[in-house]
Amino acid sequence: MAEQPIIQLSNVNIYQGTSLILADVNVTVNKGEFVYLIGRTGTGKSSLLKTLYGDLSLKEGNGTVVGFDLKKMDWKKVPFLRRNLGVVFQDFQLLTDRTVHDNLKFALKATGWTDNKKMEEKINDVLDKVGLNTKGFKMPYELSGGEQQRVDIARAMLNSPKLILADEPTGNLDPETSDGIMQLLFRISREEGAAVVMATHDYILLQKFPSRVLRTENGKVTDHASVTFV
Amino acid sequence: MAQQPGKSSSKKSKPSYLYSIIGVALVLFLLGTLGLIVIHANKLSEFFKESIEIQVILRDNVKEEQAIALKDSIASRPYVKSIEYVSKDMAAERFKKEFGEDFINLLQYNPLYASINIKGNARYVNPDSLRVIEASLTQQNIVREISYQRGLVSKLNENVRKIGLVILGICVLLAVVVIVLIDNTIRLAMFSNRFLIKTMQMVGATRWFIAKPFDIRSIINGALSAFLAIAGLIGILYGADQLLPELSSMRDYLMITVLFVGMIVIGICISLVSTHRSVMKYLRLKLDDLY
Ligand SMILES: Nc1ncnc2c1ncn2[C@@H]1O[C@H](COP(=O)(O)OP(=O)(O)O)[C@@H](O)[C@H]1O
Ligand SMILES: [Mg+2]
Repeated sequence: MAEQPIIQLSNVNIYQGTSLILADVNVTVNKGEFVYLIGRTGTGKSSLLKTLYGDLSLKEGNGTVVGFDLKKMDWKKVPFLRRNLGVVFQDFQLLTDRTVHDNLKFALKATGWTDNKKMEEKINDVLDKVGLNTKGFKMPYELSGGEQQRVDIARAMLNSPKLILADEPTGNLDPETSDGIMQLLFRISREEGAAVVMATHDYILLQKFPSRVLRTENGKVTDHASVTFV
Repeated sequence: MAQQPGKSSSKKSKPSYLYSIIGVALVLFLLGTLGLIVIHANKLSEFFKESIEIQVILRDNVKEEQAIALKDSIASRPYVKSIEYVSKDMAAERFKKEFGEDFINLLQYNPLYASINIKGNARYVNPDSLRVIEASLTQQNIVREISYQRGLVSKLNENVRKIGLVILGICVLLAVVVIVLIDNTIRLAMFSNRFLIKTMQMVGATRWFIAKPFDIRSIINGALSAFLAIAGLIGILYGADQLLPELSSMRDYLMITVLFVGMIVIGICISLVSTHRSVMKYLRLKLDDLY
């Protein structure tokens, strides 16, 4: 029963440069959980996520993510932390000079995959999961915004992560398309057993797709274990 | 997820590696010139050194047997390349041949001394060794004095060293310029590839993996620079042949081959090491700040 949590932060202070953005953060996220990180722009959602994927170093407090000790992170270990995560951004773009398939293949090669057959299998697998199995040959600009974001999610799933970190993944999408993305993320969390932490400032999504909420506010992160919405 | 054209890895103001290649080629060319000078200077100064004659001038009353005994004992020393005994008569004969004057008839006696003439091995023809040799020879009581052209010996070494130092100094300066040049090229290359690099970083590529294409490129560029520089040196050697045909006979092809191989190795090293260093440096920074 004592399974290690996917994310565990205790007494963490998050800085941007010298300014303290979030103080005394205590968060635990377990396997397969779907967690919103909600708060107004500039309250530190991205900073918290960056700490989780090793873009901001952990200076004060303790934290582990997918079994990696954030205190012991350095540039040599960060790549291996990231191979155990999937990151999805609003603006984490596909490479526009190559097809969807080649975008995914590029990411696989960059993380040490070499077997062509296995790579093809994996690409088909993730494209299938995001519902784009017929669009591998397309160039990114031939896809709609929602489809592009699905490819981003497919890319995040390539290394079968236990945790997906999504920073405003619906930020540029219209409401219907956003719903599709939300359903996809929830399905991944359910079917793949991946924990998802999704930053957003869109409260409407919470109402439509209720789940646990972490709120960034006044330099603090507050935990609303189950969603009740005002 | 708006579509922003231009955010691609192919559209870019392609950084030019040309200046870096030429810069490294220039450094190598200078180093190569220095190498050629050193290789040939050794040959040249060896040639000169071994043509310097040390004259052991003997006292007037020395008997021929004594002189020849001394000559034989000197001949076994390691510094001797060739040795000959020149008697008073032979000296007069030579003088006559050289100046075409029969002064002995004029003077009624032979003022020249008998001598033992030594040509030394190049290794020993330097001021320090010569002093030691001179001292030991002077101890022989049949020896009057030792004579050789002192100035020539020390100048030979010094000039070569001076020219070498100047060229080496220029090389070091130029190498610094080249490293800055390469750094700048890498910065531009990484900026124009920032989406590609960001993607790699986010999915978890190691720095070594990201650096690999830059490193490979730099190896090719380094080799290219070396070939340019080598072509230049071959041109110089060819030109030297036209000017001083007698030089080509003392050319050391083995050493020149070693030099060229060395230039390729150094070229690749300069290019690779400074490229890799720059890539690693810029990977630590935010890619958008690179421009
Ligand atoms: N790279 C940075 N350097 C300095 N300050 C930053 C940087 N990124 C964000 N900040 C500051 O940190 C605070 C939190 O930003 P952020 O984490 O991006 O919030 P959010 O994602 O909730 O909008 C803001 O005040 C922002 O100005
Ligand atoms: Mg943000």
